[in-house]
Amino acid sequence: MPAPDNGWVVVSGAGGALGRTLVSHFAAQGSRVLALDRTFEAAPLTGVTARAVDLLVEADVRQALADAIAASEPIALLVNAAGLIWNEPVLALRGAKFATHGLESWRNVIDANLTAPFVAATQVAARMVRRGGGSIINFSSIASDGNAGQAAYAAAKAGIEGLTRTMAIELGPLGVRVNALALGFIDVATTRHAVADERLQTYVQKTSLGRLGHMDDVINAVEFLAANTFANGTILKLDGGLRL
Amino acid sequence: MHARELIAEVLRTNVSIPPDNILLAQIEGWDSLKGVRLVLRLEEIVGRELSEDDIEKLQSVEDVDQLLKAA
Repeated sequence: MPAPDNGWVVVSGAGGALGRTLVSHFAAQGSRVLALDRTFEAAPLTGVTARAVDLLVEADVRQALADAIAASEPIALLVNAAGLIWNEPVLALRGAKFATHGLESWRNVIDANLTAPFVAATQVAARMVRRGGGSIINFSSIASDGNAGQAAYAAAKAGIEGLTRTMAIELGPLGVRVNALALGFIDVATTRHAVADERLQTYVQKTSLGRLGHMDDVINAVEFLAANTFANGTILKLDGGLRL
Repeated sequence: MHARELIAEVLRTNVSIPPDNILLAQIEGWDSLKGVRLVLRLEEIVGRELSEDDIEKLQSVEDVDQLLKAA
């Protein structure tokens, strides 16, 4: 957990359930927080600087950072919470015809889960290297190992893990640590929206801890990766033992 | 600090650095990431952020030396 006076905390995907929770947490800790997302549809975030920005447009992200955070001010932490869960099989039978995974939905999922974090990470890293370094935390998923019905999502999350390791190798010597959390099933609205109750219960039964993850579990893990100065290129699996 | 020492530090190598007029890009092991490291170290040494013009001029060992001497 960066000390409040160590620099800004930037959260991308701050309008989503995970992002909002992280923003509130860091703001409550006294950090200066910049919240980035395409829109902030739910209740407005209080006590933080929020910027609506297309996370896929490099120039817009760079400008949002420049507008909100003076060039002389360090960014201690970027948490890339942008992303979406998407279920679509590679091949399905629709009536009498085979239907293939849509290319548009593929691109949307890759954009949201891989390209948007890439843009935020590169733009923030460019600031961090000139201001004493920092820490970047991405979100992967246990689906990165492959998960039936989630080809695009799994590919994007596998991509995030490769990106995390590569950025860790390149940026570690420049003082920027890059790590990721590979989440299992966390009890938030987006999980319950994406996974039917019956199936979710099956996952709970298969999880050695016998429960879904809580948001506090995620926050604890984010704090660990942010605070541990020897963690770099780490993909921390947080799934309650589901994939053991 | 002499440019050759700095470049060796950036390259993390003990090999001898070629003559001053050689292009940085021609030095064995040089790549764009080394270029970033060089710029960041130079900024530390000269105590200011280098402009894009400054960075564009950093083509050779001699250019690095001149920037160091001008600081």
